[in-house]
Amino acid sequence: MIETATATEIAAQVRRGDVSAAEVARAALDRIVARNEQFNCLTEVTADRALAEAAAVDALRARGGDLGPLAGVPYVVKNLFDVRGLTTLAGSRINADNPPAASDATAVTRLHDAGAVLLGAANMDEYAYGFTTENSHYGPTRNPHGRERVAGGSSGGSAAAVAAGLTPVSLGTDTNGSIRVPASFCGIFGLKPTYGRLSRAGVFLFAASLDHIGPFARSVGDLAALYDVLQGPDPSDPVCTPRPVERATASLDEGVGDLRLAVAGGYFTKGGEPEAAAAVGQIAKALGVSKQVELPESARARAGAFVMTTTESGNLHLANLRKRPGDFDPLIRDRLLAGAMTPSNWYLQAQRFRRWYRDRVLALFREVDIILAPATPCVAPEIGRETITLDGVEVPKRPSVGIYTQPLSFIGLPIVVVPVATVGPLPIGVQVIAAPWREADALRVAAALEASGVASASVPEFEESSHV
Amino acid sequence: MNMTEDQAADYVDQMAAALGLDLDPAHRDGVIANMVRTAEIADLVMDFPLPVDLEPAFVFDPGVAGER
Repeated sequence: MIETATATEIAAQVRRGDVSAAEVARAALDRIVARNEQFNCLTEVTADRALAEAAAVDALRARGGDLGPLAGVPYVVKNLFDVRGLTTLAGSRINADNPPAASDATAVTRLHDAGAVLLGAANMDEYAYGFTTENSHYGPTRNPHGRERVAGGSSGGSAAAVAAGLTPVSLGTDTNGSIRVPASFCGIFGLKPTYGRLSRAGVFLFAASLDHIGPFARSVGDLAALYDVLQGPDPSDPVCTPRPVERATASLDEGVGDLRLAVAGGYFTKGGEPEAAAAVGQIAKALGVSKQVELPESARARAGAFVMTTTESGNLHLANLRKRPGDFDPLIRDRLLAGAMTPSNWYLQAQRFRRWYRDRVLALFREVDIILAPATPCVAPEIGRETITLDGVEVPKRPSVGIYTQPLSFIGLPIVVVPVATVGPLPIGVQVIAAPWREADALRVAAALEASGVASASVPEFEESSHV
Repeated sequence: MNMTEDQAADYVDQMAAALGLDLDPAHRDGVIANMVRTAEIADLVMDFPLPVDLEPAFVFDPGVAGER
């Protein structure tokens, strides 16, 4: 069934000629018509481009040409990726005044070259500054596992589109948790690679020192397939690594093997609801992990990430904060204004602390290869709420759902979020954290967890809109 | 060394002037509240002793000039 087929299966079917890329694209566009209104995943549907890209794949096959690894695979991108001919909104009303992008982002170009078919651009928190995709201009994205709940953010539209079965795969970005939080809340797989691994050229920045891009999927094989296609040096991104491509698909089925595993203790065991601990417990049990390691001073690492983020984003938007402050989403405007005023010593100390924390965590990776931690402290909270209760304490909802992701992106570690569907009625994710540049290790462990059935993503059953 | 709300208010007003930000009175309280919160969070970073030889994590690449 095309609806729930993985990207890898779709590409194989297209290659064999069991189905045409055009049929796959039309079915996906039909699903968007039927479901997007319910969940508000996409802010733009690129139907013409999708059909043209699909037709090109079918024509190439008819000529006997070499089809790419993602031939005919539909996908969507967060609306901060440049798509030629489309204005890059980055969730804002301000950027809607910009001219259309003249070319595709590097990531979009690489997916196109691999044969993938772009369906549209997805909703997000304005300028990626949030964990919930409650966008005041374009409306909240709704969680396919419960429409009254947030999808997580800031890549919420991209995650919900995969969870709702609109598309098998999508792209998002992660600065403090914006791939990992929505993957957890929507019950799908997400990869935040090592900082600098994948090119961000043509992606609207948020806090450049911390910005990453990465894929979402309902299977680990798809996550690895996209990751492999996206790899490679890119001089247009000043932090993109010149390291050669290290394909993760090649080692995906090797199992956990001799990888040394541990659970993150201390900070990562506190401040969460029982579901978060239960999810880690299930994953740890399945892997037979008993060792615990402590990432020291992780609360300060989260603080450092907070200070760097607010400072860099405040600076990035200073010109518009002067000119048209009333056009920002009220949910982020005052944070950006305060961020533009951050004393330089706070920022510089955070940058120095970042190296201190990095050195301590790198030392841990001499003893272990993989560290497990909760992705979010709770399941998806309700849309519109200002506060949530975590471990008996009432805290502001929007910043607090990132407590477990923020310290780790601070030092750019590669992380796969695996969804655990059996903790309760709503899904929640676990972070599988590897040493820098060892994405393949985290993906191997995620694949083993998927194979054993402990981690799984599925499209929930829901009623289609009737007005198709 | 947390900022009091009064200190944050003074700081925000002066920084707004220094940065040429004509702060809308309707936004001012929210900005002050965010500054107080950022100050609390920044204390966690500022309170932690770091060695003087610890370089900040950013690295600048001077690039390569084109052919002459």
